[in-house]
Amino acid sequence: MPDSSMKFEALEKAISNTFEGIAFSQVLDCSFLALEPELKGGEIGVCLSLPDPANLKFTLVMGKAHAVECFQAVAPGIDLEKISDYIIADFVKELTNTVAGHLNAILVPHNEDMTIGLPVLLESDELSRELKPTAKREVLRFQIEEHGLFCTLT
Amino acid sequence: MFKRILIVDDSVAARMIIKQYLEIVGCRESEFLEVGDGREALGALKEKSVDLIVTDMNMPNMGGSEFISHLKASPKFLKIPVIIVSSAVNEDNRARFMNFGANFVIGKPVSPQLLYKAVSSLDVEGQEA
Repeated sequence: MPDSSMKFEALEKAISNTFEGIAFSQVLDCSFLALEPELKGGEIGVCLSLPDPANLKFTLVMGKAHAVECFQAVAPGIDLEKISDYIIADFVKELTNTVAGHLNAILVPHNEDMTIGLPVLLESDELSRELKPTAKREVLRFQIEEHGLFCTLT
Repeated sequence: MFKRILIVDDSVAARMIIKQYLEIVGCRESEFLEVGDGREALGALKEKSVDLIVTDMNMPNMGGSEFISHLKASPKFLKIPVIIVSSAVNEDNRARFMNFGANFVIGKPVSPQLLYKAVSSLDVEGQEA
């Protein structure tokens, strides 16, 4: 099982690879949070599990405006009117899945099968609880261009 | 090019993106069928023939590996080319997916460049070009 520092390094790389890959967005900063962050409202959160050998639960929480911006970068030809809240939430699930794929590719030895759980959308009232640091749960804030994004690893 | 393409992914957003990229890489005239998992895909294949399947692996109800094993067990569907688009791609999984019978494996995030490479490596008969 990878140790904590390996997991966080892997997460930083996975977030960078994903956002640079989809939207040419750069991660400008990454920091651990000691307290749960104050959310602005309207954030979208998704969690999924990475079974052994990674053995992690991963959560990603991002603002809707950031998600819409990323979606438009990925699919510029899609009519804005077709992009409903459901599509945006679904897209954040895809992003979470992609980050998890990068995370697994870094953490799981190449000769081992890598599996990823299905992404689950969090209810808005679950977000604060999910972003509360505990002995087992580290919360990180990434600054991606002008947007903040939160991740947890449990 | 491909007359009818089946996109199998539980994410509506992913299907929209893949469809748009396929149109960009030359499949503008193709008809697209979209379904959310392997079980729905097998149902769709009973109704209509397709020339290309683009499928995710990690899906509820019936995932990509089970879906492809059904395809490859059927003489009717055996030759349909399959492109796998998955976030769970490392060297070992890529080889495993190819062993299932996939013609091309793409790691997420998918891009028009990667889909172009995949599509242009196939011809309409399902054989690698």
